[in-house]
Amino acid sequence: MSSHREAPEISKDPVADNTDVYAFVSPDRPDTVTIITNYIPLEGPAGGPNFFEFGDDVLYSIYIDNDGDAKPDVIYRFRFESRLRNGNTFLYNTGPIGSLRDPNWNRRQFYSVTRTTAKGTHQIGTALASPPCNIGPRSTPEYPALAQAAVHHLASGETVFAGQRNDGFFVDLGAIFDLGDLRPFQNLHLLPSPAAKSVDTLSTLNVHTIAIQVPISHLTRDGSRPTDPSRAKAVLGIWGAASRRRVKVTDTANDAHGESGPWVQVSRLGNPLFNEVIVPLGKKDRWNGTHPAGDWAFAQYVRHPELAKLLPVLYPGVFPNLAGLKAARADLVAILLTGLPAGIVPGFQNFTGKTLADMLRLNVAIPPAKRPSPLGILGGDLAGFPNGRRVADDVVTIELRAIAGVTYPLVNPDFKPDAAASVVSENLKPGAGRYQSTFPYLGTPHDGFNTP
Amino acid sequence: MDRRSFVKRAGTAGIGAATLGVTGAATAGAEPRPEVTEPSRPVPSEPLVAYVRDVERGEVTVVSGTHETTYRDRALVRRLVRAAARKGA
Repeated sequence: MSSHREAPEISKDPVADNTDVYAFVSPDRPDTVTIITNYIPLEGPAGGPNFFEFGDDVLYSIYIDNDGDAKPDVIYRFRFESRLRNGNTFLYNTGPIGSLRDPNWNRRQFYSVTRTTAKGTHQIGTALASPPCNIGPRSTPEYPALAQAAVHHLASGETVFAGQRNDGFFVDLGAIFDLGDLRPFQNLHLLPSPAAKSVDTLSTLNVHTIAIQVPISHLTRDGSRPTDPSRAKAVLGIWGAASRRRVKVTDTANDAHGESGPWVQVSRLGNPLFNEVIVPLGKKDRWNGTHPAGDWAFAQYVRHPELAKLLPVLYPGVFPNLAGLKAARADLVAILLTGLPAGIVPGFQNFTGKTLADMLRLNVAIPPAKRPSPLGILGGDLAGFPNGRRVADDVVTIELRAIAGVTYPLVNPDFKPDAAASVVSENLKPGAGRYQSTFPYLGTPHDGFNTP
Repeated sequence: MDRRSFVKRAGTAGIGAATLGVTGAATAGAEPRPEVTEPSRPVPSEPLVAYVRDVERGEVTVVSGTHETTYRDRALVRRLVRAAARKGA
């Protein structure tokens, strides 16, 4: 998955597990950037009676680098606080929840937001309500209205939302992890089986979303809204992370616990699938605890990705040119670690310099596409991945094709990609309701009553 | 909340600041000053942990292996609080 359960340690800590990061110029408010960081992978909608919520003991951070050094210049931090109205019932809600203040809603969650820049840290939102989880037609009968009420417009100019949403990420998970099977091409696999349609594994699952919409001028190095894509100041590096305190002391006898010490990062995410597919198993936990500016230590896995070696083995005779490609993958280094320099894709660059760092790189001077292609730049759409990442971008197909060699001619025109490299695909089209056209752009979460 | 205020609160809240790898006990009247140092090795697989449970009562809980014992040791608590209050501690 993009980064759902992608490393051994974080897979056991779902509330801190950053599953996806999205960053794009807001299609309906193009003077803003929307950044989304998702947590809690694979939420079964019926998962009560203690429905999903953010961790009160987790620090959720969104980092923005605006000068290319892979160190944050703007940081948004989110802290959550759960409140229980009635501790003498097992119920999440004691009747229908008609509003965010409904007394029937027993277990609520609120959050604060701070913004840190060189000028200091300022609290820009306090006691902001999250919506309840979507339980079912009796408990949450008007869910879209409840969620909309939890969209908060802050006096500082940002708009925020934190709560359950439909997981917009789509992937044939069962096939991918069954020795790299790519339905419907399993007849070509080393261990063949009859061809069958792809399965959208996450199509009935939810996730918890932290979304913030920020005026572009709040994020750029000079406070401007760039209009020239060729300017370095138009490119932002963006990633998310979650941290826990160094020490936690549990005292169940007194129904209490204490935490102390510095925040220790336990999860991070920039480009989709980076830690999942690029970083080897023995280094994934370490990667989660490090920062993008130190990603040079992982560059070898980008230059020589394991998956590029596996594809010719798993699909005998299908990827002969990829099998012969032994050179370091400068194309993948550009896509994932430095951004694409000018002159490679006409009219586009998202180069942040020589510092090798896994960040989503968004050129904010590229306007939203009128007809977005899920294949982003590979599909001729400069507003999509790897120029940032939109919620409906088919990042699995894009990265599969890139690793299979489709993008290598960008750095070596003599290389001829295998025919299969440009047709390999997840072959999935997310259904209606997965997304919405306005903030927070991910669709209404599946409800627990109606979702199997 | 900074470290100092956290420790201050510990006196009434019941759970105090934690410190890792504290060894030995202080003796009143001959207390060497703690030295700030860089960790010399990674965190051990089962760190010995001592945390101040109640500053005013001088209560410190020591956790080691699968055991936990709370002592009244005002001198040790005083040293720990002093160390916690130091800049950078």
